[in-house]
Amino acid sequence: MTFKPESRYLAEAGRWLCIATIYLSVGTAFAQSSFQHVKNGFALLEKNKPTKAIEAFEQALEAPPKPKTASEKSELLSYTALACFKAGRYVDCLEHFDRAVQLDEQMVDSTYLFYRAQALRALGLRRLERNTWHYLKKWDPQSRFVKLADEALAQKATESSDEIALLIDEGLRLLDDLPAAASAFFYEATLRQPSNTTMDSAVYLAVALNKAGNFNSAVTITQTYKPPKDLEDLWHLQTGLTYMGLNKWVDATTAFKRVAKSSPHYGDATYAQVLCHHNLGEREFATSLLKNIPQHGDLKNTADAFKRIVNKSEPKPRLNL
Amino acid sequence: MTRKIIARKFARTQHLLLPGLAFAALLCLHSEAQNPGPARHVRGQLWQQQVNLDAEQLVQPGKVQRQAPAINRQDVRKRIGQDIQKQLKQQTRNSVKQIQRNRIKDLIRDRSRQNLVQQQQRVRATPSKTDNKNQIDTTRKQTSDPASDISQRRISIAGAETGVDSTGNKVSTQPTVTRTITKLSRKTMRKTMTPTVDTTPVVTVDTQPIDSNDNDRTVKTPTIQTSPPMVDTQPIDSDIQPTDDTLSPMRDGSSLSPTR
Repeated sequence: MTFKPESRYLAEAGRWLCIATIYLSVGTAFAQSSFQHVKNGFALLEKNKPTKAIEAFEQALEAPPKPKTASEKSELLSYTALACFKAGRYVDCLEHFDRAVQLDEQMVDSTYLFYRAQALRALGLRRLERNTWHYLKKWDPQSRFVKLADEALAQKATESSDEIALLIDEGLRLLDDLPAAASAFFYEATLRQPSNTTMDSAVYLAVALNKAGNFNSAVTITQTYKPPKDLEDLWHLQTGLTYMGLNKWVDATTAFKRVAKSSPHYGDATYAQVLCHHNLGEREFATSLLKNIPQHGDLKNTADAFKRIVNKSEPKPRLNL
Repeated sequence: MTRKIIARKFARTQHLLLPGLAFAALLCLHSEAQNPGPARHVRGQLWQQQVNLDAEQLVQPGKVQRQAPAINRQDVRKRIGQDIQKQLKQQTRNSVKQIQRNRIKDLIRDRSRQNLVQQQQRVRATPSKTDNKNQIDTTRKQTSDPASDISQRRISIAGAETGVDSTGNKVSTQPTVTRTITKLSRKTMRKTMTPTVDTTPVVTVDTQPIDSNDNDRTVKTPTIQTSPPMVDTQPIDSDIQPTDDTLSPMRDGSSLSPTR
């Protein structure tokens, strides 16, 4: 292959292209890929360095090639959860496992249930732990973990009533950053109280499940428990949000309608109704409801912005054929 | 000047181009092999090894302990309220996306409808191929020689009016007859008017043995009976049975028999 001096532009471009290709390929060849981070993580686990393994697995989530499917991401999260368990960070372990299951329901297997039960046991959430062992035995009676499950179930757990407040406090502390783990604390607190009583832990549990995106469990909770009177509005709001998460707009509207006018959340509930009616295709009614939104605060701005968008996007009159 | 220098430099280094590209390709392949992506997971082996280590025994049961000072629940409720607004904002964003999607759908539907209307208008404005064909046919009928075909004769269908047949004779017509006439071409008419003459001799070969009781197995020549050719001297008209739709005698007594 020869180039004439006249084709200098082509020659120069080719030269730089060659240099760039070599540079990029060297870069990609020696850059730590997601797969290599995973391998490193497991190597560190073998060396009994779980804290560093957590870092490696977390880097794997960020490094290219990034997980394309929810299943891939779920798997990386489960590795992190495993490392967290080995490092004794049981709250993080619960959070990562729950997030993994949220992304891919196929992740639920006897191994997942085993680690969940163990983490709950280590955190002192004994009711939930027992439930999980039972579930594991039901899920896979031939599992190799059944022996451990029987052993754990045979042990008597001591509980004190003072722990309920502690559990709720711990849950509230975790609510913002680790909602899935917080829900475990709230659920434990709820299970330890008589089911016929009204309890605020159930309200917080609904909040945590909604925040974690576990809407199906939230529906079960809202249908099973009753809130205390002072938290009724919050409860209805959470029920509405759960149904919104499941795209059940009619049920959501029904829940939002129950929020009292005197409640500080009335504006939120009305605005939520606007969204529900809009998504149901009842645009005119939704627009008329927008007028009822309290004329102050951040919600007002959101509502106004939404109103502008709705008006702007109102479809033109159709052609009369 | 600089261009010349660059070109000269490249001319010196151009022999590196191909090996360089080959090296780059190899590196790319190497990196591809090293980075199969998370989809090719390692859960099978390494994961199981780690699980096996943990599956040996139960962890020590823990106790619920206060990790941080107690939280003011009123503050928490306020925070939850703020979170609701955040969630509603998120829902608003989703709804707005939905609105935009609907708007695009509406636009597409309107545009397709408009296209359809325009197409229909265009179809109405310009005649179709079949219309053209019809037009051509009509013109051909109108411009062709009226004397060439009976069907071209403008014999009124309504009522008994006088028409002209191919020979130029006046024919009193009735609607039923007229319809028949118009269907007949000159060729057909000629054919029907010419008497058919069967010129082939009828040869009957009797294959039966003359005497069935005769046991003599000698071959006997069959007798051949020849008959004179049958000539149909009857005019064709006589064969035509009057029916509703075929040639029938006129109500006024006249017939369509050939006038030879």
